[in-house]
Amino acid sequence: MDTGLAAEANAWERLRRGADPDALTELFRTHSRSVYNFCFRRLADWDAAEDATQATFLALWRRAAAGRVEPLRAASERAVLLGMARQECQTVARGKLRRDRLAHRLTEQPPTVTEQTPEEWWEAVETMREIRRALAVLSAGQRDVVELVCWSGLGVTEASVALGLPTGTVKSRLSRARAALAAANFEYTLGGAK
Amino acid sequence: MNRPLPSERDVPHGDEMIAAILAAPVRPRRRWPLVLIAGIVLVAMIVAGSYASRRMDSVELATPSSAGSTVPGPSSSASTMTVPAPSERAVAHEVAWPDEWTALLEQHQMAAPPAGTGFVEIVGVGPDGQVITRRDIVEEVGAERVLSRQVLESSGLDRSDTVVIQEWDAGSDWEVGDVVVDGDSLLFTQSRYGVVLGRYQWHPGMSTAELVDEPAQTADTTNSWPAMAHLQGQADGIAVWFNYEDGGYQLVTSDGASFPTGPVKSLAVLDTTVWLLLHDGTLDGYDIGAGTQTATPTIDLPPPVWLASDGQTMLYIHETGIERWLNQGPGVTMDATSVDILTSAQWQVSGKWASWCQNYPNIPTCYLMDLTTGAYTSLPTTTTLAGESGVSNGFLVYQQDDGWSPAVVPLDALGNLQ
Repeated sequence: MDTGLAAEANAWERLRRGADPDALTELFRTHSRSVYNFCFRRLADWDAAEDATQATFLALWRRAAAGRVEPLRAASERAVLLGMARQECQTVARGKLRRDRLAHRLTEQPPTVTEQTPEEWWEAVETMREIRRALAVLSAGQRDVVELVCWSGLGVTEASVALGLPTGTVKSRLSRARAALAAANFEYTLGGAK
Repeated sequence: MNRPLPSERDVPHGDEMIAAILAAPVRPRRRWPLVLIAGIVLVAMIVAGSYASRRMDSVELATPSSAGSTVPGPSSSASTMTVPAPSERAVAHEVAWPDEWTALLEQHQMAAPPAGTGFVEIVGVGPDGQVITRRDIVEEVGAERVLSRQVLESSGLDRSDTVVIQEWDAGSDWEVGDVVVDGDSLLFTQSRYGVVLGRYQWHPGMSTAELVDEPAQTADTTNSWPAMAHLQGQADGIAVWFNYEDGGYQLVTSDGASFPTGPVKSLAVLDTTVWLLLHDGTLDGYDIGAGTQTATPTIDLPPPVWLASDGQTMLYIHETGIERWLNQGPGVTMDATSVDILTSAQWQVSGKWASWCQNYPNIPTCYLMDLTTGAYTSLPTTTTLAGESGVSNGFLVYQQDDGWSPAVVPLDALGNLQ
């Protein structure tokens, strides 16, 4: 285990022993960007992704306070966090889909953002919505694998931990997803974007 | 497959987010000595026969101390409110899905909606079991798919046809936001140069609709950006909040009061108090009965993870238990350590029944609980649409595995779950 992974595991272990603010902060600093962008790709919405990211780390914090953080089963806790984020996205998406669409139609202008121009903000959202529509050719399980392995860079083993599936199932879903997307002339990269 | 995905971004306001998470109220980890002491006290209280009435004496809503609020300050004489204390105790336990209930689901399964391109969503159940759905009609215009109109539809329990309640032409400035069914009314937000609340009076069969209040409440959107509107309809009030351009949130109530708040995860109404659970885990309470009063609740309970209400009952879901508060009397405190509450969401309550969906470990599963016995059972499905299941207005709405056609079962027909 390299130094970075050892530090991550250390922070995770500290959280397992109790609600250590420094440990959570360390994990947040290391993984919040990854979780946030995973959530954006799943939800096609920056605001919803922000909510889901906060909910993910809040759930971890509460688990730590309750002494219910589970032992790390993957090489990195990123797989576990993305697995948690996936569930939080589902909760957020249940209620936000229409509200966000309404807001978009009402305003046709983005909220104030610091890192992107308004045009870039909406372009990203529109692009991601287009991608989500294109992904409809896949089953929900196949989409999960694409999001975690192709776009978030998890290994097959890590993705299997995040999804609670055998590695063989992850591999077969990934293979079928690639084939289905190729057949549908899916235009976007499956290699991720940093 | 070579066009890039949108570029990654850093979490905006990451420092503030982690600070909010760390400041969120959490339940301290249990220590054995405390558990032991609590156990001794518990036994003593049971022996004294006074346990139940002392489980929680009261819940007080204390006035906030922070300055700078745009809300008129509360009067000193109305600074606290009391929620009835639970007087019964139950232990949640899981039981198998009764076979006879499967027959009920089959008996009450409804026909699928009209075929067509679009998105269909169940928004509620009327007082006679009508299922209110909304459907977006999407059309191909050139190379683009555009939303052409939105339709609110109603399907009755005893018929398979679908009645169109109202259509909105999305090409105009109108669009439907949230829709909820609240007793005999259908409440909705809609847009026209802003966001307004409207209300339909319920008609038998819902074959026609009469817009009786428009707007019941109008948000001042002159200089704002209503990015999010969430509606909660209750017998005694309407709560809705908006996300404004400056990043603030505002709660607007049916009596014209408005309060600044934060992003809300769930909300509930009991009597005249609106309870808000914010995404950062904190709890806010607003007394809409007092009109201008705003309050911050202080409760001698673990912090909530979800709030739900049906106008008569409010559920306060926390890490290890469920507090059921009633409008007209004491409720139930339920030890729910067998439920993985931290990964549950979408709690709903209708009378003595509660439902929720659980995201852990990996497959979303929805549950139904008899709050009088503490018994709960998982809905027999693994559908990804499980989140659409729930209880509403005296009915269990169950999403079938076929994609979306619902079964709507009167909760009274279920009897008790032991």
